[in-house]
Amino acid sequence: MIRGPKRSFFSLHLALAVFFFNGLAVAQVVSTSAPPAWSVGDWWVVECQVYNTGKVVRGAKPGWTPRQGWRFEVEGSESIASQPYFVVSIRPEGGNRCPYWFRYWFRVSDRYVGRSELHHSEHAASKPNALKPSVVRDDFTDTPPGPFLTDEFPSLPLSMPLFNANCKPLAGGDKSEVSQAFENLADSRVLEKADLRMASKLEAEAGRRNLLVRISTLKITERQYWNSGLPWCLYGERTENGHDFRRYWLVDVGRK
Amino acid sequence: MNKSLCKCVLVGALVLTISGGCWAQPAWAVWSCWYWPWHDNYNPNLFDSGEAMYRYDLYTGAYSQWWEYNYHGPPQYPAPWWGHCHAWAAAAVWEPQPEYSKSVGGITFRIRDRKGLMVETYNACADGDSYEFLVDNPTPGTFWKYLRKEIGGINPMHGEKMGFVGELYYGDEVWNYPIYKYSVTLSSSSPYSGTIKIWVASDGKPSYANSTTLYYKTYAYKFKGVRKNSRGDPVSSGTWIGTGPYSRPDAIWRPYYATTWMQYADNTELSEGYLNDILSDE
Repeated sequence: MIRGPKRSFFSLHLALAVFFFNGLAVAQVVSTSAPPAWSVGDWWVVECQVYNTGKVVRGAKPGWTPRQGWRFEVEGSESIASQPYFVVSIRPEGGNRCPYWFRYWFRVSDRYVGRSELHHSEHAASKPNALKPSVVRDDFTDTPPGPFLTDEFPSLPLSMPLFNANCKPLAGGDKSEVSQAFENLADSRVLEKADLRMASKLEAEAGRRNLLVRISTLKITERQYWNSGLPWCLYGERTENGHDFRRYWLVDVGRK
Repeated sequence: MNKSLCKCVLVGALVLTISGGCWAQPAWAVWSCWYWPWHDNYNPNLFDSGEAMYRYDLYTGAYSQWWEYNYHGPPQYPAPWWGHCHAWAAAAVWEPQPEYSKSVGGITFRIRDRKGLMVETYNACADGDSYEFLVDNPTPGTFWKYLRKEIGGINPMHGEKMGFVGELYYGDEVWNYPIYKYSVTLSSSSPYSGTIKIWVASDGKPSYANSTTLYYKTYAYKFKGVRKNSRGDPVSSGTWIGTGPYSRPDAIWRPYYATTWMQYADNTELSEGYLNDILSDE
């Protein structure tokens, strides 16, 4: 008789504790997220800097390179295999020396990257043997959907999670090498990572959902801080083999 | 102050790296050169009288020889192996090889002078913000992926085969070479083990600078544990077998194409128009 109530009392506390801690966990780690809202005409600018290890040049001093700007613009929408995709152009901006520009196709439903194009630009240089203007297209739609992560063009921060998807490491194909995880964040944690130029826009989006997204392979970890009211992550960083590789900031957004 | 010091291979050090020879060069491929050392006891240097900068100054009235001596030469207290290997390797994957002497304004620029100037124009290409790709300590799967893609021509970045640069000394030293050919022998089932063999142009003898023959070296790397994806592309996976400085590539990279001669040139005495006079082929 005595032990019964004691057991019940203990069980109640245990249940409350389990509920409490589970509740916390559920509030932090989430299974998935809707993609950012994009419309044709939306544009945004991302600045990226790469950590130069100096490894391939004897005597080079390791350190962060100057920021380089990239302007993203949602140019239109197209269908690939009967599914709608946003077509986004990405062009070097300001002092960015990249002689190419890009187009990427992001599936509307989950931002799966289904196609890319590299464009050789016209050059006004005197150099006679400049790259001829051309377009190189790559289609990815024969691979299982997964987050997009590439080691090409390190100063172009184009890693993209797969939204509306299960967060477990995805099985099959090369995507088995890439996993992603979403975590809810407080406004303050996103704000402290954001570029100052975005502070006012971020305040206007207060109360929106903030997310930390991790995209990982064996050697690479990309962390991105998203606010659901903005078209691109506010801040991101990549480490390779545990070392700094690059970091990038959303610095401007608008609509044509 | 110029940062682009480079540890390059010396004459006689090549015995460590397997084999050498010459090769019938595909149209897209790379070219051999000399590493143009900074140390005055290892010759020729780009700043020597009679060499590229001397001739450039005769034509233009500039002081590029003085600049080269001061910033890529003895005042920097270079070790004997410091040189231009990174700049040569990048130029050799992007630029057509100068194949003849050219007289401009009454000054003759030999093949070695035109190669030397072309190398100098790529000296700042590896300062960190202009890479098409840079993979530090690539896994065997990643290295194989880039070899297939860029040199094998399987969905290459620019739509056609081209070489890329390998920093091939696994350790503190820096030895860059343009990679232009490869072969892979491997086990019959996944995860794959085997050997990746690569061919690289060489910069180990002064005479290579004045020649249009492709002098080469080979490296062979043993690996295990590599997997492929559903497209048949190797993915980042596997481990290298062995631990020595030639057991694996240290890094692979390629800079953006230089749309002007001066894009990566740090010798401030050079200028676009004069370089174009000397380096253009028409």
